Amino acid sequence: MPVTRKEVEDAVASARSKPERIQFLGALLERATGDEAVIVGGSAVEVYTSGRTSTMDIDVVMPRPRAVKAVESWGFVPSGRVWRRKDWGIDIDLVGPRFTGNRQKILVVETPYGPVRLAGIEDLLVKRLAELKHWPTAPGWRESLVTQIEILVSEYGDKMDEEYLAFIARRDDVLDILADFRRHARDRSRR
Amino acid sequence: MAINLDRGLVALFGSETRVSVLAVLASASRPLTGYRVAKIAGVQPIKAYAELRRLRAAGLVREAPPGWELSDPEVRRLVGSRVRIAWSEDWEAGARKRARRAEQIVAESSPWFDASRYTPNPVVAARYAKEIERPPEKGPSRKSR
Repeated sequence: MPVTRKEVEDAVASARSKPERIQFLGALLERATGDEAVIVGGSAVEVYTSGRTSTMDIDVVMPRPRAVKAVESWGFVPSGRVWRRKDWGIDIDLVGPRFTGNRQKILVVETPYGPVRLAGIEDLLVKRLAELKHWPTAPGWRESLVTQIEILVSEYGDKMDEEYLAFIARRDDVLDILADFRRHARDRSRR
Repeated sequence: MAINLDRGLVALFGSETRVSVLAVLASASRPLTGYRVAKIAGVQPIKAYAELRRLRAAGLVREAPPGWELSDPEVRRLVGSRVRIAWSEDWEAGARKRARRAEQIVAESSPWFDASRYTPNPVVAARYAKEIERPPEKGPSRKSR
């Protein structure tokens, strides 16, 4: 179903927060293209943390051709694989068609513009743990990752699928670091 | 239906509509009307109401005027961990609380984390390389060494 530039502008203007704006744009992309769009990466974390962690762009996993047409018609201009609307301060990164997480763990949020899909909390958490443990992260970014993980563990620790979490944490060799973050969260909640 | 339903849950509860209705209630932070449950689950209201009544008779949901809620915390935990579907209004309503808790976590955070305690696994690092490496248009690299 085509979505006009005016509809997108109205949706962006009506959003009460940046995370809500991310959700509306994800839903409109899905509606405009008819393709499943999954919000991933820092933008998904921003929604889960209600804006406490911030990202520059909205990372969307979906087939590119129809998505490119849609964002172009909404006034976004390309910069590499990122599509930018400077006046809104929004970048959309059309990551590609392949979702590497588990589809069963996706959170579907029903918005006034249709459903928007967010990558599962377990996949986001383990990816951050893996980046922290196995990747040589720059100090500033490392601090940001630690904050993201602390919030995800504290806020969603009891809402995750433990079996799946254990499976991907083992696969990605992050069981030790996950246990440390959980211990730290428990200690903090006791204080 | 916009959601990918867990086949195990569908087998367990016996119907996609039933699982969808349960999933919507499991993710909700407050009672929802039958109409709202139907809208979020993407099912016809008449079917949603029929399921709600059936689930009430089984003791899994209860009426909490003006809406409905799950009455069994174990079912909430089971369904909520396997099918996730929420309503943006509900999500946004809880956003302030979540943001406040997150602020608290950040404020109380001490520099406890020590990356040198862990041994990096190059195989996992290589698997994630494509996802972690940022194209130049997305800003400076986050890699240190």
